[in-house]
Amino acid sequence: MLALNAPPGQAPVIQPFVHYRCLCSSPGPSATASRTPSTTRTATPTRTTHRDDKDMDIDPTITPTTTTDPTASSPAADLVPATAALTLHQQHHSHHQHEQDSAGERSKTPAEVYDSGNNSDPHGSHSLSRLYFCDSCDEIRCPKCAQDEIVCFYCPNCLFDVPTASVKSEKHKCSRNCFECPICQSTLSVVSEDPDAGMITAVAATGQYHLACNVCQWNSQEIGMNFEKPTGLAVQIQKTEDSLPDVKEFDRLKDHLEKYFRVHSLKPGLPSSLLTSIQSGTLQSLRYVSTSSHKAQQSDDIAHYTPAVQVMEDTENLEKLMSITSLSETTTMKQRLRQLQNQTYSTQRLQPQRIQLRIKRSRRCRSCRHILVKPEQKSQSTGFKINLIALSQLPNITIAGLQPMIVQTVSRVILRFTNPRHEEAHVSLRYGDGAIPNHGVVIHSPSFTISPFNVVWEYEVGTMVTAPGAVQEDVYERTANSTSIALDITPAAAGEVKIPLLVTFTFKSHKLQSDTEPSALPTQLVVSGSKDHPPPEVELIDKTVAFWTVIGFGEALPTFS
Amino acid sequence: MTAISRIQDLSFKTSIYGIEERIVLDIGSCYLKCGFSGEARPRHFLSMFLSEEALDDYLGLNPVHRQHLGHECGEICNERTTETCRGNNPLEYAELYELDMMRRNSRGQTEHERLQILEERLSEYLYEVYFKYLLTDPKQRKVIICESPLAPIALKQTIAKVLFDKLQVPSVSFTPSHLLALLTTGTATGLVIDCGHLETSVLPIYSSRPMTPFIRTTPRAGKFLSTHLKQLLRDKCPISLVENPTDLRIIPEGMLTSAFLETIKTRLLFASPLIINARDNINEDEMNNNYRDVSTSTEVHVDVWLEEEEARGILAIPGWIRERASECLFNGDEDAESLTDVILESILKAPSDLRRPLISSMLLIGGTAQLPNLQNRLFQEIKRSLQTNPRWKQLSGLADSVRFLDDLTTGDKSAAPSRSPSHQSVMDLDPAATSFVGSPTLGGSSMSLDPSSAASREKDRRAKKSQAKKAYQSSGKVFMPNCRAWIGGSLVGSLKSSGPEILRVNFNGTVPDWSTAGLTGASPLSGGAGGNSQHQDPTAATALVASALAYSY
Repeated sequence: MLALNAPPGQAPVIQPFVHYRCLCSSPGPSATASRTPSTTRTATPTRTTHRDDKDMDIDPTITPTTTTDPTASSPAADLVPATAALTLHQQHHSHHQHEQDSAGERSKTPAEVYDSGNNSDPHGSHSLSRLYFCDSCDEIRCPKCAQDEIVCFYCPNCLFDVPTASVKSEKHKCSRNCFECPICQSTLSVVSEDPDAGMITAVAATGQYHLACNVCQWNSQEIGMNFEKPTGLAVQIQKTEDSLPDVKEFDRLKDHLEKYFRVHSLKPGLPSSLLTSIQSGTLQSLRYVSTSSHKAQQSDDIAHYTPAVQVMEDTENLEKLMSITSLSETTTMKQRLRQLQNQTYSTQRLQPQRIQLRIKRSRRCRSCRHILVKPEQKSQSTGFKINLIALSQLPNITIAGLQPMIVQTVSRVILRFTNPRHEEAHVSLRYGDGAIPNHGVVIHSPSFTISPFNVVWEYEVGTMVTAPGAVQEDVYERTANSTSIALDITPAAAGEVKIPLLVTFTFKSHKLQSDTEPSALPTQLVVSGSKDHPPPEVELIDKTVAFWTVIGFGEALPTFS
Repeated sequence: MTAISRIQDLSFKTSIYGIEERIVLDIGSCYLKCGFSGEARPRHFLSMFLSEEALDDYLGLNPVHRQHLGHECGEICNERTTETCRGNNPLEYAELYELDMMRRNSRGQTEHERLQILEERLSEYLYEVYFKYLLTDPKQRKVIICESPLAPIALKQTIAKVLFDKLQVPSVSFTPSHLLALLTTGTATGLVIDCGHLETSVLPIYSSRPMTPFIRTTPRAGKFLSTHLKQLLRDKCPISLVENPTDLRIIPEGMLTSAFLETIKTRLLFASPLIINARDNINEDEMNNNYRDVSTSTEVHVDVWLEEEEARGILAIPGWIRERASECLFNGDEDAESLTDVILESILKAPSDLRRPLISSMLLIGGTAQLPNLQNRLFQEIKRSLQTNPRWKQLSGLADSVRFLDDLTTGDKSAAPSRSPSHQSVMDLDPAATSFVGSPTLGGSSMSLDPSSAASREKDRRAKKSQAKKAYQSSGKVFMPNCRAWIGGSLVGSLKSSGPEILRVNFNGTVPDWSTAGLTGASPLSGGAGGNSQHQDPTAATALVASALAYSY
């Protein structure tokens, strides 16, 4: 939809992809659906057709969040007339509204999900690796619908954890010995003068340490920068940075304007109201202001610090610029913008910069405020305290086999679903026929199970459960914790082929107390293990999550005829 | 004296807002400046063009690593960008917005789509600003935005929307950038010329009042220069192959991206110190030949990679192009007036007693103003126009008081006590003085009285000052023109002041703007209470007159 990526006149190379849609940036539940007249609000129990009988007796209590969409449950459901499907949706919806009235924000039912994402627009969809899965909302969360928070500051070079208190005064830069090269922005190292015997004593007075770049061979001696000690260089550099003319001038101006603003504002708050009236663009109350401002200007103008060098630079610049012969003799914008106080054209005037700090961030789900991902506090550690990334919770879909797409010709693609969970999971698929153009899609075996993930299988590549190739009632191929199925696609028009696919994923999950009605049953693993109930049935419940994927199969070629 | 003011300072600084610095953002169409208030320079100055490496890749200087195009990908780079980063086609991230956001653009995108793209890009950039560059929690700090008075309201709304909805900042205030820039010179009266990328706007400001009715704009700015440069490169700069230097190629269209042009523009161009008088009906080629003949600058060779022929080439950019490409800013026509013309027009529109104070305190800001020697050249052009162009005959008396606020002239160095009397006398004798005071006599008197009395007081002060100590009249080019608006924002922010503040709880998708505020204030009855209900000064009559004045021009 958005031609953001397409430079004018050039068609980008279209590559296959599998994207998961986060509902936050999709158009959302369509307006018509959410304004369904409440006539069908008959409080129908929506536990309609649960497919698996064994599931039935385990989870009679969990309603809307875990209901499998009946229309998605079997291929036969696709044949349900449109009207029937509609009523089903509405029933779902009305019930859902009930639930919302009583229990506040709940996750969307598959029907709602279906309404909201039934097109092949990849806008707002991401690859699985970029997504999170909030396990209290049971919804996919993308970086945009997560809120970032700062966990800690650290220097990316020396990995020193910088305490929050000193970050601001150090201008978010490393205050130790980390500098970046003014030319190539790689890290500089502190080196000492050649350890030739005579040299050290000779230069000891002026300082024998300097900064050198190992990449572009830049050396701080070129700009006459030497240090006496190999440590605490950042403090020295920051000191010079903070005593540059523009800083002095700024402080002057601040003092100066403060008086000016105070003359204006005998009562506090007027300075801003002054600017407020400026906003109106009319010349209201000009007399009042002009008299008082001139009174203010009486005490003005005195306070100007004028460094003469600043002006000289300009002409020097010009002469130099007139006689250069290659691009490399002037600084690039990038180099210049790192030295904002003078933005020099001359490479000789560039100074080494302290390295910018970085932060570790945690992310929260915007709707339920639960933390999605939280790294450990220390900068050296790469672990996470909380890590609800989607890769470890949702089936990972990959395109395992792909035939070239030709318009009006059937081509077969193989989709592999990999289960990252330690429990067996069930997947059912449905093609979103609201896509434009509506390609012909036949899903062989739209409903299947995937074996649980087991660490041991990581080492046993290619453990076949069934032989590949034959598409019967069963799936195309079944390996360790992944199942492959076949799709027959008949592209309807030339151009990129991308299809929306509704994935309904049912898995066993630890029952969370907050999820259900307050039950007396302790659901913790340790506690329930001691009970006489068979542990798995008690502590695990079925959860169903429905989400949209957009799968692109590259470009369809026009027919040869 | 100092001790007392220190104490006052202290009380002023620890106001109810505490010591919390605000975030100051200056969101231009090509560069985004961000930082904390109270600091003398922006923390970061982000480009929306390709990164340098990407540009090198793109030029084919390292053809092996053809990846990472787009902006500099960070961890927060969203999928759509990485996708384009992976792609083989260079993505050109040029202007963030354009001034005609309300129209369907050349690529056929509707207003809605364009705003959506803008919102997406803005949220991406602002996210980076907070979490990659400023490293601060957006929820804690108020935001000051430097806004151009002619920025589309839709743009302001989108900025506010992104800041409030995505980043949840507590408050946003839009503050006019011209005024902010002017404050960095320590004065509140001047003619601010913002020569940016999309347009040049000239706004007279008197006593910190932007006189928006007299604003003049022209598209002759950075983008215009890029287009002109592109034309010149295409027509005049063939590429010769390294293998066979006599083999010349026309520069491929795909190479002339805006990032490439930006590189040439920022690294090689400058404004020629020499003015060549053009005859009236001279054609462009002849003029170019003239330029070539008088040029003293060297030719610059740029290595390029010719994609189609898989060969290295050398693009030779002759000296005359380097010095004369910016000539297009000074040569106006009916569609797009020259810089000189808009400046003088704005001066002419201004009340006559303000003309001299305005023309003697001009301030050139904006990214294009970074072009070496541009300001000197503009100075000469203005003088020349005043002296020779019959169109500006009315203003010709002002020719000797043309001055930029950040220029250190010889008069500055001798602290200029002799200048102000003449200044004063010519102002009073200005032949146009009566003609422009115009119908509202009350307003005329209020406006002409104050400056003159103030000027005389100023004269006294100057005289006193010059006896005491040789004071600098101007701080020179302490601040870079492209940072001035930001620095002004930082200054104002550190003084706990800003434009009207929009709180997050009150945000309903609309933002205040001088144009809409002017509409509400248009009826004379609401004029007094329109923008400033807090003022209970006796300005009801003045306000009436002033608003009438504003509409009479």
